[in-house]
Amino acid sequence: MRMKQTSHQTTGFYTVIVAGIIFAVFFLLILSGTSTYRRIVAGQEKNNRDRILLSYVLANVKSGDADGAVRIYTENDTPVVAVEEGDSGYGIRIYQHDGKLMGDYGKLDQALNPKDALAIGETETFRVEDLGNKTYRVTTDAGSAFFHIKSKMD
Amino acid sequence: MENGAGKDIARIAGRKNPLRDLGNSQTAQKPNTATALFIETLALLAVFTIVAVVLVKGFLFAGTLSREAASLSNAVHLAENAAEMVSASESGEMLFSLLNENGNARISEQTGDSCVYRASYDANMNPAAGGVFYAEVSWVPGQDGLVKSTVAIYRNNEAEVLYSLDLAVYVKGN
Repeated sequence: MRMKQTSHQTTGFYTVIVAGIIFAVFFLLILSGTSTYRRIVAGQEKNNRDRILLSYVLANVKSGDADGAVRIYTENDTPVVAVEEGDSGYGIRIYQHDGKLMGDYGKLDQALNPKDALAIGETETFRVEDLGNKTYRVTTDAGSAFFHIKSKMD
Repeated sequence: MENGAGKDIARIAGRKNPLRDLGNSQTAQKPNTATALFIETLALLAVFTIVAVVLVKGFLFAGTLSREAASLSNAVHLAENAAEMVSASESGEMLFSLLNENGNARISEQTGDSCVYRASYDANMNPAAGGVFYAEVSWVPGQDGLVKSTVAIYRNNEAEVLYSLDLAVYVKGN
């Protein structure tokens, strides 16, 4: 009778251990899967975030690279990249305001208007350095990119 | 015949609990039951192990793909920057001075007017000597002011090109 009881206990114990192992491995698999997924999504987000601000500046400058259209100056201690649309006097001004990179479309001879500007993304840094020969380096939190202007500049 | 059947009925009926006897008839198979349980468990563990291995391999592969995508994104960014520098340069020396920040660039090869420059960058794409990535930028002057250039981005200690760009620029008076 006692032997039979011991045998039952052993079988029960064995089953619990096997079930425990299976659940533990299953739990680890779930943790591993979610961590991999989180890493992948974080990497994608970083790639997109890193590219979006610099790409925005470069795309605007490149698309408007005509004689006298691209101007780089400082207003209120903030570097501004201005790209005029033809000779219309209108264009887009790109600058940093309140931790965000702004795309401000309007009359270029008027003051900056961040209230109505479009926030492109967040960055605490926005620097535009002149490297000579119409080559500039623009730097944001995500890194820096170079652009060279082929047309004449004012 | 009738006597035989009658005896059997009497034998079963004479027992206190015939159903328990039926159960007792299985006690002889107890070791077989334990073996079957053991084999079932082993089979279950084997299947579960295979599934776990396949899933872990899938996760690792996904992680590798993600890292490769990040590397490719960095490589494309570096190549674009180097291409802008080539486009802005009027000579090999000028290209070198644009590439060189914090002593991260050096001349890798030089044959006549043609040069290959190598510039290193860290994981965050900042110029750094001995960084994780390096860009090899060639400057090959041709006829009529046309300069051909190839920008190739590598990961340190790896021969495989992560990304490459072929471009040409016109340089006045070249």
